[in-house]
Amino acid sequence: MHHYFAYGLTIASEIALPGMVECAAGDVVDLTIAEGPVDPDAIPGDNFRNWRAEPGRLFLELFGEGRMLVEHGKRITFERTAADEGLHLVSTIMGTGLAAILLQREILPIHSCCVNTGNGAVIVMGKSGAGKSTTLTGLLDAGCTMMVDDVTGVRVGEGSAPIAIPAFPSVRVWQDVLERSGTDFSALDRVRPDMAKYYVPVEDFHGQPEPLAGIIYMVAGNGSEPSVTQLDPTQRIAPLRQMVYRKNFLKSFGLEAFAFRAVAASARDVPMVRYERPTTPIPPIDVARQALAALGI
Amino acid sequence: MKADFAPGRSLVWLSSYPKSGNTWLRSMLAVLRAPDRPLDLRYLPYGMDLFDRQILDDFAAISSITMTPDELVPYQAQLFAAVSREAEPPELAKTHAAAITGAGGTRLFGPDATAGAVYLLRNPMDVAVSYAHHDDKPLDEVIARMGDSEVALHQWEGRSGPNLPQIMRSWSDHVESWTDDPGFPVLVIRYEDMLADPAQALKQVAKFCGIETSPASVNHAVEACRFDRLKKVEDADGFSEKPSETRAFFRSGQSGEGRHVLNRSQIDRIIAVHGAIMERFGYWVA
Repeated sequence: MHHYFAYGLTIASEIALPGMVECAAGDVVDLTIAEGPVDPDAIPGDNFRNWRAEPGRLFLELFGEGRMLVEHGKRITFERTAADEGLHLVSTIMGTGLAAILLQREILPIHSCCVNTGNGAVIVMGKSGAGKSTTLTGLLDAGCTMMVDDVTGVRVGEGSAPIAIPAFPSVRVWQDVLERSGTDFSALDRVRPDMAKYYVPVEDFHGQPEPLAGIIYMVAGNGSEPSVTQLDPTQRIAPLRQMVYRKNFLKSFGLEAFAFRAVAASARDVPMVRYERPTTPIPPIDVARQALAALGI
Repeated sequence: MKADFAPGRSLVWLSSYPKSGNTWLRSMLAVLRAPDRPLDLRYLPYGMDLFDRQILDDFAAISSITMTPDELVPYQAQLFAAVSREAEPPELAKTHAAAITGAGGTRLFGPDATAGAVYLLRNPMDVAVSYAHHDDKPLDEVIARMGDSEVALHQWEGRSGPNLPQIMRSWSDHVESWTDDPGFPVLVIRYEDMLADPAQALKQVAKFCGIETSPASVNHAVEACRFDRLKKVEDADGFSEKPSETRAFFRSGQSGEGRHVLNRSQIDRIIAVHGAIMERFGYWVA
């Protein structure tokens, strides 16, 4: 059994989760990840789509790879259907599986990276290719510490500010980036066995939850200069909703009202800047400084 | 010829290799269906949303970024089927992907989920010239790419973007994949014929898609999308697919340019690789 701590949860897993750091077994296990038979009809419904959900439970089929069942924020059961080890089952457990666990625990997963600024957490969200990783690099160069690489858990409690929950101390980096920076990647875990992308351990990791102090919303633009705009609370709602990770689960989980409240509270309480990246590259640290300044951090 | 619409089957693909008139046709269809709306290339309908990475990731609950184009095919086919099932016919969508078969033998554009396709093709010599301008690449490199069966759009080593990779294969493979019985009706239109008589081409496409037209509505759409007008709209308002600040998407639009711009060796290379398909569709291969 492998033991990990991520998203504030103690995890006991029968498979190794690359990128996570093993820790000693504790007395309490919050999340169990185990191999076992998964009934394709575990959740009734049509077969038009590769997943079905109901309150507290998710069934997902990965064509040619396997299937998994995610239950009550506490357990992920997976079954391999491929003859070999499978190439993306593990990354799907760590992505979709953990996001479903967070949702079932009423923690909102936001597709974003996250840092601790010393004055609260800042998340960087945006579509693939919008510049999240670049901005993360800049924020780390500016002295922030890493909390999340890909999916940030946001907890919104009654009468308290939204809290960002750290994930695990690694960041996914393409091989050519590692080569350019002279990093030895021979011993690193790959994101999938046949992919030139690796989990790079982060030494300076901030493992405690922090109040969410700002949101940077990255957008790929086609201008020659960056455009940085402060968004008012009503303008913040649409990007936040857009960036809820695995948001299509909400309806079947019966969590639409929860998500609405969490998004509305975050939009009300947390400043957001929209950073439109120009076509010409700008130094990551400049992106970070401009965005933080616009957030007043 | 007409698309094969049925309950739960509304999707018609506007398909082509890049730089073959797809955006021009989409512009005309946009004006034809909303004649009072000024043409805005920034919000041109019938785009490549179905190849948006986040739409697929949300729909199938996968991380497409950690999967190969071949592995994605069953999930994409499932998304297209859902759209085809839920939309009002005709649901039009653009693609530059070849009509491939992916993991598990699943067709990307499944016959059950596809009412039909309008396939635009253009003389590969002219495609090469236009593509070289669009990508700001040397002609020799573009010609090699057009002959490469491994080519995909939006796929790069070591990075990913907001669009899913679209497997195109070579120019000839692309044409064959769409025109050799993909399992649904395909209306093939040559760019050169659309250029010679845009009203006739638009009428054929509209009829195939079950879109009502009148001579006046067709003429209005053709006039609104004359090449000089599209260039003006691009210059004035911009266009999301404009390749860069300094290069325009709409360049010359003419046919026959390749024969004059390409040198003999470049022409010979194109004919050596694509001659059979060129001849089949009536292109000069002397």
